[in-house]
Amino acid sequence: QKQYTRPNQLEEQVAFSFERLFLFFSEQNRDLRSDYSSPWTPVARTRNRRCLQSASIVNHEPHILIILRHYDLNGVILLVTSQIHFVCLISRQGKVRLTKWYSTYTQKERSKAIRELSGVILSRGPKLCNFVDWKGYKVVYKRYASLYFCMCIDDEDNELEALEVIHHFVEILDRYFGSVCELDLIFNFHKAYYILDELLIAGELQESSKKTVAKLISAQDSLVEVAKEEASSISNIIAQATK
Amino acid sequence: MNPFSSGTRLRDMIRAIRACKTAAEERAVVRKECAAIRAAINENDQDYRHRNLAKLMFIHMLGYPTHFGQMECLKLIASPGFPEKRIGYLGLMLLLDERQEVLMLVTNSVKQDLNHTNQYIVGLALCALGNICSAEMARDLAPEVERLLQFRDPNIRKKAALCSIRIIKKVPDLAENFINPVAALLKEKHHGVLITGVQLCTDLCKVSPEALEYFRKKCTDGLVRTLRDLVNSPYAPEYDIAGITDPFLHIRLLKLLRVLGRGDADASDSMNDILAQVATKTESNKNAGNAILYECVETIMSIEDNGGLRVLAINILGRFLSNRDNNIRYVALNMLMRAITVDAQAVQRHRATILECVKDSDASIRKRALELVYLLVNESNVKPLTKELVDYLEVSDQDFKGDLTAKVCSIIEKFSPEKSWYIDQMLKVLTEAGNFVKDEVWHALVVVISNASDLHGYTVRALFRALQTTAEQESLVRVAVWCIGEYGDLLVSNAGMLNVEDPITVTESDAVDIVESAIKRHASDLTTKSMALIALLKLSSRFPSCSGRIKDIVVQHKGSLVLELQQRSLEFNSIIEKHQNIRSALVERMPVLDEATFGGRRASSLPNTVSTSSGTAVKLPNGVAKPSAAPLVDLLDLSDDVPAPSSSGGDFLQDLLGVNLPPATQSEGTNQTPKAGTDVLLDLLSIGSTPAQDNNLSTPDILSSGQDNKPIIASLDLLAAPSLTHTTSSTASNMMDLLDGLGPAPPKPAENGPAYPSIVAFESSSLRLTFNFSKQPGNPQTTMISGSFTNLSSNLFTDFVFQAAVPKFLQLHLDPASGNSLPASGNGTITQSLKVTNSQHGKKPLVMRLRIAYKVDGKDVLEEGQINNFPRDL
Repeated sequence: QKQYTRPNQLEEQVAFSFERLFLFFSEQNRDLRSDYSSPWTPVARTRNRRCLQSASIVNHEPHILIILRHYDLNGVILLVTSQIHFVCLISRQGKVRLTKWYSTYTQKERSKAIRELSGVILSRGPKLCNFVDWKGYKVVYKRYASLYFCMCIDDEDNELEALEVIHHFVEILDRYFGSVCELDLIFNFHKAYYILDELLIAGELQESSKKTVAKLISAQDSLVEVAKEEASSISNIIAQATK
Repeated sequence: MNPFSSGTRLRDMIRAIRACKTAAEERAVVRKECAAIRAAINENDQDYRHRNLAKLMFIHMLGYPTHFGQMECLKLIASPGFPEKRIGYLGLMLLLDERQEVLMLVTNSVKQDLNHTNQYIVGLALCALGNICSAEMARDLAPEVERLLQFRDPNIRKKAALCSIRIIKKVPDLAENFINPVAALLKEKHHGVLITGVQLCTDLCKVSPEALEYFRKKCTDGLVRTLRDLVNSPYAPEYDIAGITDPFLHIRLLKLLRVLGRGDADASDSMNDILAQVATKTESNKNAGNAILYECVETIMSIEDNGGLRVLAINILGRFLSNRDNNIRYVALNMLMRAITVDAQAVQRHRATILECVKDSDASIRKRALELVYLLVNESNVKPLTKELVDYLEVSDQDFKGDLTAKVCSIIEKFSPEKSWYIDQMLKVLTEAGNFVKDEVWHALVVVISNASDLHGYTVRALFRALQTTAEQESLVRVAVWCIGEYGDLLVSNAGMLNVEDPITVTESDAVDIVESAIKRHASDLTTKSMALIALLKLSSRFPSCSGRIKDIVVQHKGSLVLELQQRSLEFNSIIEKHQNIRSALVERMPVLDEATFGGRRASSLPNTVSTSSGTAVKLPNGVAKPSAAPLVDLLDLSDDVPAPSSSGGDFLQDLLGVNLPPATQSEGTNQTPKAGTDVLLDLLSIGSTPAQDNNLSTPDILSSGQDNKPIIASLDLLAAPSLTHTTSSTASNMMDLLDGLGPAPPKPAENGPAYPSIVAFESSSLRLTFNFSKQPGNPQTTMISGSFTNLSSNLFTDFVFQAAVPKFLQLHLDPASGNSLPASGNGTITQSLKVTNSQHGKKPLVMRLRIAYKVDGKDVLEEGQINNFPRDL
């Protein structure tokens, strides 16, 4: 089972008495992360008691302990969440163009994550693989022109598929904006978000058809247009009337 | 309303921000905009609310605080029009997350929108709910979402399905409500609904065994059929990616089949054919095809055994591994790591290729490959593999060396076939990357060397040679210095020559030279220097001719600013000068170190080493306040202050190795001098000698009575203790905070006056300690504690000593006790008063560790404990 070791007594106690503590960073990080920032929390919290004796601890780096998975007594994985934890678009200069968080992170953790990742990703050469290990997760990234599209997924997830999801998103953006460029995404950032929301919910893919997404977005855009026109015509009427 | 007061348009603001040349300019623009938006919020401006929120979102993305806009989202969501709601929900998802209490206020609006007649508004609400809902919202809104799984429009059904995933992740108890509606989704034709339905089904199976059972029985065949239709479907432009129809759906179906097939032979059996078809028919020249193959291999590996399929899967991985695309190689390594439990032999076949990947230029691939190699090592291939890795150590990147060294050391320790090989390899590692070698690794090496009596001469000569070529590697220097000190005579006499080594001629003064250079080297840290001093002392007896010179070197440190060096220098000097007659006996070669004791000690301190990556527990047995009149006892310190005999072996080793210093070794570069005050504290707080017992004591308690506060505290202590020993105060205070939250609720003290209730601070079967508290008026930080000890046993306690330790934010002053013998059966008490000053008064409660030592019938007894039940406001 990879590098997973059976927990010894103390680690079990950690799991138990710190029922809510999932990521336990040692003092080198000076960072204690409670379950609030952990994507496994909700299920784990209720199951923790049951799975206590089988909680497993993965030691990814010498100074980071991550209680990652729950095994039942036969060593079968009971709980592996798999989802996209966040999506972000970073420009080549390290500016953030879009971020979407599907797991709960504090504001501080968010900016820290982006800072760390942009440092790692922007410095990687062009021929290297598109995956970066990061705190027990994997970050899949791909560069399109001046923008890096990054997606943080679980260790167990399919990285190649994540790449495909990124490409899918880019194609939809391309179709919507007509050969999209960074400026489009800066000035119409809200539209980029609307499109992303038609593609992903709760960190899961929602639609595999580019056409359907385009159709839904244009339907909603036209709803907005109609409302705008109504508003302006009413205000026109009022303006006329009060003249 | 004045149209000019509404500020700039969104586009203009973005332009203005982009035009800023410096960060300060940008801040100024943002500040101005934020001020305008705040003003608009205060005026309750309706017209530009959505524009202001859009601006806020942009500002938020730049990393500025935007909490003041949160209520605006709620207002926009509550407004009737679609455009307002659309931007309102977007703002809700961006500016808020599930922890904010504001979110609760929105539950009602979301509920209404879920029942809205406009399907796009329903879609917005579902999307927001799916992305940020909290457990409470999940409970409140689950029935609505469940209903929407049957909505007429497929686009709503798919959103509801994903929303349900979030709900069951937040509240797994709700899972069973979704089982039936999901079964219907699996029969859909619409790809969006099918994808989300399959995904929901997978997540249901993960949280609920009942769901897994249900879907396994009812849906496996249907899913296999769906996958077959999909694989054989003709070209469909809408879903086509690189010649494959909807790879996303392929992957999700394979994933669900994996969950269903795992641990169930029948289900696995029914999917064998289709898996074989996917594995053989899928095109592997594009990423999409490889993604499917990858998923398929994983499914084959996870479901119940089918020999033919497994061979197919391993072959695919072999193909991946030799692919030129780095991505494909990365996933191949990843997959092989999982496959190794299934078929180690097959993975071994790719060993050479994997070893090449360790040397790849790509850090991600290197890391994976190294982990995989680590798993591949066994008794038969350890020698060639280690050789490869050690050779690579010379040329590897600096930032990869740490990982690599740790793994190599671990391989060598685990699989070494014989001692000479072990020593050889470790010397190579130390020479190449000694700075990355952890303390416990070279400690273990010293133990092994000490046990291999026939290799002493060989080892010391090899180390001498290595040290001559390079003195940069700290741990190499330490091991070498130790060995030269112990076996210096063998170095000079060339005794125990093995036939593989080249003879060298080393004079006595050469040996002293090299130790001297270690002590003089500027970069050597305290531990190294102290070890070098001991080595010199030993050499002074081994090489009488150099004794005078050694004395000179030792004396140079008499005035060292570092207390430890100064003390050693003085002590050793007096040995050399005044105690010629006992010196040779005193510095005799060390007895063979007991491997079992050391191993056991390492095991018992394992949690410590795992969680902190630093080696041994920090102890400073040569206590700082030791009278200087007893240097001889000190030197061969038999751990007179470690009363537990079971652990003294390990401590003994620590002391003799001279590694009993503060953790200066762990952080190269930072200069840490030992601080007297904290060391005593560390000593008491450290779990060095008693972790095993503590563990055993508290574990059954915890498991049997989970609700009881006390054992939990005990285990918290265990957790806190190893960290406290190594950390600076910031982490320490983190830990204390944690202790705060979980501590038992203490009785509320009276509002005024110093009337704090007295507590039973410690109670064992034989001893009770009660604390009475008082405070001096006008000085709330300081608490006077008067402790009284009562003997509950029927024996007289003599030589009674009470010690206490507190964390850094407290100061403790102990007055002398009223006596040192305690009559039996409560017929008298010892009282002792303590003064505690709490620098974090009002923020943190007191905590204290205590250690009580006494004699019963001439036998030493030691009791230890921690006091967490102090009244809160002390």
